[in-house]
Amino acid sequence: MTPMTAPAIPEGGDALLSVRDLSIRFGRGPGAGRVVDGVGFDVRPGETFALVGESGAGKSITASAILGLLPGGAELTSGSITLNGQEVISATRSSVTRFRGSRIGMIFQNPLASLDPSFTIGNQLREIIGLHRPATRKRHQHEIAETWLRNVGIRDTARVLAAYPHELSGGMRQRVMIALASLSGPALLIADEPTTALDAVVQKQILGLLRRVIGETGGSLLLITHDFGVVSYAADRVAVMKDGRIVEQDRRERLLTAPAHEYTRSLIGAVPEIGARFRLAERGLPRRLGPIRENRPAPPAPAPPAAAGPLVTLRNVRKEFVVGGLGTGQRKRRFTAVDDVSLRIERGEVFGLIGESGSGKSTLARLIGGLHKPTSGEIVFDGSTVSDLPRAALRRLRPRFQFVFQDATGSLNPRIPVGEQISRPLLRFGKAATRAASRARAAEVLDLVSLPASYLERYPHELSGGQRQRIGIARALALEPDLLILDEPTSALDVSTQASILDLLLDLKDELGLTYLFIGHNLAIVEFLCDRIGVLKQGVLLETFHAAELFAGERHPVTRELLDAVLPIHRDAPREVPVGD
Amino acid sequence: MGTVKHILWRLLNIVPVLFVVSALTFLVGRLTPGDPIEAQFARDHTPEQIEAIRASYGLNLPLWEQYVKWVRDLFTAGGGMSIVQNQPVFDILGPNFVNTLILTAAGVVICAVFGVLIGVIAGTAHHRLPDRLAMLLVQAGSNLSVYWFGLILIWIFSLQLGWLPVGGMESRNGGGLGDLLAHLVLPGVSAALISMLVLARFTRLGIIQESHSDYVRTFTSQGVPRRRILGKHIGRNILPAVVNIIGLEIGTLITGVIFVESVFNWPGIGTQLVNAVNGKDYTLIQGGVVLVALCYLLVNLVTDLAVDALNPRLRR
Repeated sequence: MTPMTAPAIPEGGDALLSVRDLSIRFGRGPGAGRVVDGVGFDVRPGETFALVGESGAGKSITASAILGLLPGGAELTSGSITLNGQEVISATRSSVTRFRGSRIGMIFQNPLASLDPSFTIGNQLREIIGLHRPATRKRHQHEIAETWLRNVGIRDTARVLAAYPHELSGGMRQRVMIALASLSGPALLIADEPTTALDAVVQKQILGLLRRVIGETGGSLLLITHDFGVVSYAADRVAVMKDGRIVEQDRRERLLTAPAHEYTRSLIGAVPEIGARFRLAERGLPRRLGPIRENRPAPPAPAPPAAAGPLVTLRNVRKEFVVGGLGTGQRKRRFTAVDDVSLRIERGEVFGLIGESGSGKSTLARLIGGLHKPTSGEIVFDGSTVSDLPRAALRRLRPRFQFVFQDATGSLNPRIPVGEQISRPLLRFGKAATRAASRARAAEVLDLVSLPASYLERYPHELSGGQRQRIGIARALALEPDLLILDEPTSALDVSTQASILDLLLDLKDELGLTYLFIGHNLAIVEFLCDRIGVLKQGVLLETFHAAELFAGERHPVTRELLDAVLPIHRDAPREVPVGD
Repeated sequence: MGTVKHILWRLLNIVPVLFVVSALTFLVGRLTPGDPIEAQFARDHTPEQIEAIRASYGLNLPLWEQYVKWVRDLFTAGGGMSIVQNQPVFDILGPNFVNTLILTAAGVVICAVFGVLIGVIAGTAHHRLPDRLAMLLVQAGSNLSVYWFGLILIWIFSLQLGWLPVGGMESRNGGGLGDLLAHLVLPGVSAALISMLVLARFTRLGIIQESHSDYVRTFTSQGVPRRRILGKHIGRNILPAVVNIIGLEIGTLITGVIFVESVFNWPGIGTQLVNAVNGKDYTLIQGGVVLVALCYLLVNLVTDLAVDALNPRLRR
């Protein structure tokens, strides 16, 4: 069953983990899909091996197969997995339970849900310690747990041991997960997208920590990721997966510098990198991420803004939320989400807001979009003060600023065809007089986002993630807004999908003369897309600057920290070895 | 102490609810047609005498004064005099109310034990034969009527097999705890049936959902045995939901018990209340409703506090 395109597996004979001819299928009968198809690779002792691919490539399911944790409906049809020459699992029999935890540890993507919410961290760590070392006494278990928390860089161990998972931040929880998975000193640690749900700053710390832990226990790391920045930062060898097959595997430097396979090249090209827009401009190329095609029409010349002056002005805007109070059993307290923010968004510009999670960027966007009322200060949109406007007047203004949200799936109604979801607001806001007119307009905007008109009849579940986000953009555009508020519109998407959405946004802006407020936590994307950038921390706007001034000396330390958190793709130079956190 | 304050506050919350319940029962009783004094005394008394009797019960006063007097009686005069039986209401209801509580408690225990048991069997064998069988049972059982089910139980276990008594609360010559328990089995099972099946469904669903959660995957990947994951992690995480459902179902159970009492001839307040409604014995109805409402509120309060205490997110 080995596909012809499968690259040769470098035979060393000294592999720690050997995966051979692994095939997994979903379901039975003629409709069964082969999600993993003849995959083979080796992980050598002490190395970090990265399995890279986009969603649906089969990388996560390969990782689950190693621990015998295939989801229901999935079935191993062929292949074998061995650890140090001992068979872990094969199509005929499984002895995987002996290896779980003690020889192979696993870290999952979502640290928020990966720990039991009803038990303290200490309790859960002690349970695992007791399982792998049955002889240890309770006091000793406590000490081991404490030591391991210190190993993963947690200082106030007493508090963390007594805490429940919800009392810790996402980064802290992922540290605890790493401690939990490594405390038995497994020979192999599998990390399935360990940093995807985390902030850029925390991501770098966690990756550094993973490598350090591997160094200490002398184990190997199998890293599942979709992010070439992560690969460049942490991996020794890389395999690229597409549609259940490995298309290319090689040492990191070789694969990043001279990728042999077309798919690898396009994936690496799709990653937005700091400074890319200026490099493209120097070479006279348009600011686009997608592959450069000969027949690609030149982007239209930017439409001049309709009028001069700022489109949105914020003066000393402050937003407080009240938490707790009567009937909640908690003491009432105020919490300032946005603190005295003043800024201007000029017509036709892309303004980027960046900050870690919880810095108030989404609240600020909602204030500008009229979804929240500010506690104090004023928000002026094209001459009218949104913050004081009566309901009816605000409603008349609403079509002019539209939102595109991060969760494209959650922001579409699953039971209504997408065409209907685009045309309904048109009728409601009086933008279309008749049903037929609204349908025609929906088809028009679908064309703008490069989807055929036949998609009008489809339901959200019949579309891919990228197509859903295109629908989200189409729905916002249908109302002919002046301002598009983009709240992390690509952070749930694959790199190549993200690239096509970012390109689309740039095309649309030029074509329609739009103004964007773009919210993100990845500085590389914000820098690529935005003309000016504002940095938020704890509700305070620390500074705003032009994208070209990102590297200027006077940048705020928080901005530098965000810049430092971007994981660049090192093509030629050997990697700076990340040690510590 | 925040917790003590919280509990006191919740207890205080019962007062306005009880006020509304009492006012509503009072009003509904008075606004329905029919007059208990007329019905009882019209044949052999003159209108003047009837008026006097009415005055002696305070029934000639304006409505609000009657209400105030009744509320005062609730605290000082055993809930006021029964119009028909001429005794303080709580003296009449008291002993039977205890019997009703015994039957309810038996129902709750049966419901909790067997409901959770069926749910665990079905949930752990999701999509396999035991699950299908258990769910068939639940589906069929949920559609049974309490009356019919009670009669079938009597026919099988008392009349055909002769294992258990037909009805009542104790044998003619008495017989201690064992005798009471024997008398409790059939009415307890009938009263618990529907609630038990509801609980089984929720338990099954909880286990199935939690089995797919990320933390279960974490502990499985660490080699924790399935049995322990089920017993410790899943069990602890579905506990708040189970307690919540049991609390809600106690309310349903109390209502069900009133029907079951008449099938099994159980000397509870159900029969008394039915008679009181027929005789328009205002004070007895009101006293009974207030007692049941109070139980209901207390059960709800305890459930809420227990669920809060079980949720680490709400504990601190």
